[in-house]
Amino acid sequence: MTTRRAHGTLALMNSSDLVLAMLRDSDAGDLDSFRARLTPDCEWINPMLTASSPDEIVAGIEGYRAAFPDYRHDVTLVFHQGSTVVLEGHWTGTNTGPLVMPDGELAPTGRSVRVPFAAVAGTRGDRIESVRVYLDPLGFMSQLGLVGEPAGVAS
Amino acid sequence: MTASELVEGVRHAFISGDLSALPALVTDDAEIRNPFTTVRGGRGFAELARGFTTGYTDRAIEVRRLLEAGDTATAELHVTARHAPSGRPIAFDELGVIRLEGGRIASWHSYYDAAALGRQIGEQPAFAG
Repeated sequence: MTTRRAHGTLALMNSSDLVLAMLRDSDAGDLDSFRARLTPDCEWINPMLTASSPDEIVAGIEGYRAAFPDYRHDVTLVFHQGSTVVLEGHWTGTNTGPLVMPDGELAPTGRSVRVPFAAVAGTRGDRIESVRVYLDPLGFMSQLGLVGEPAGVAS
Repeated sequence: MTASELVEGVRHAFISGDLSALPALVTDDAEIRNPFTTVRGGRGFAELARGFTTGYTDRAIEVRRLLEAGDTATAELHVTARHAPSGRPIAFDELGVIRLEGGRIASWHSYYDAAALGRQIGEQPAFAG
């Protein structure tokens, strides 16, 4: 994982460092350490996963790791205000395992994807209590060759 | 202008459809990016905005949270509108990651679920197989 920090936040990096450490655990597949950074009532929302406990979140992450064993987060921006952390970057990975979708399992495509994402994470003490990930699953599926190129819909 | 003022200016332009003030809010080479396209500068931003203001009615944008740190800000937005051709309502959450330069917007990266938005207006992605 690579990172770039926003200017002017160096005095208040604890929350940011906590979230970055969670992403490092995720990228390394150290899901025990990953789980330990979450509060028992942690909520995780992304376009493909809504989870409200560490067990549900880790199960989702295990699914991503099965489909994209080499995935990683390249973080280009991180800053926080109070207990809230904002990230921006790219999620990259190669689809060499089965991808579980709501309507079934897709065979590995062998394709690599690089998807821009941003996220807002809430922290409480030394744990993460919420993560909201914003990304475009249409672009993700398009890079896998599973849908046509996205057409313009809105601003 | 502050990040809050800039976000309010953009919000007002997208809601009202009066895009005349939009170019003054961004730098000459500002990068404006969403899941579908990347445009540059005030003219590009206005053209992009026009796609929304002419394609959707009943537009509303709620700024749910604005965070700032130095030359960077983020705006969590909740957008609602009605798709003019189909009459279908849309609602989605967006995160705007904004970089500021000299009191103007140097970049605005919009993140939202374009697939879900497409489904709301009846456009299903064509699966390639």
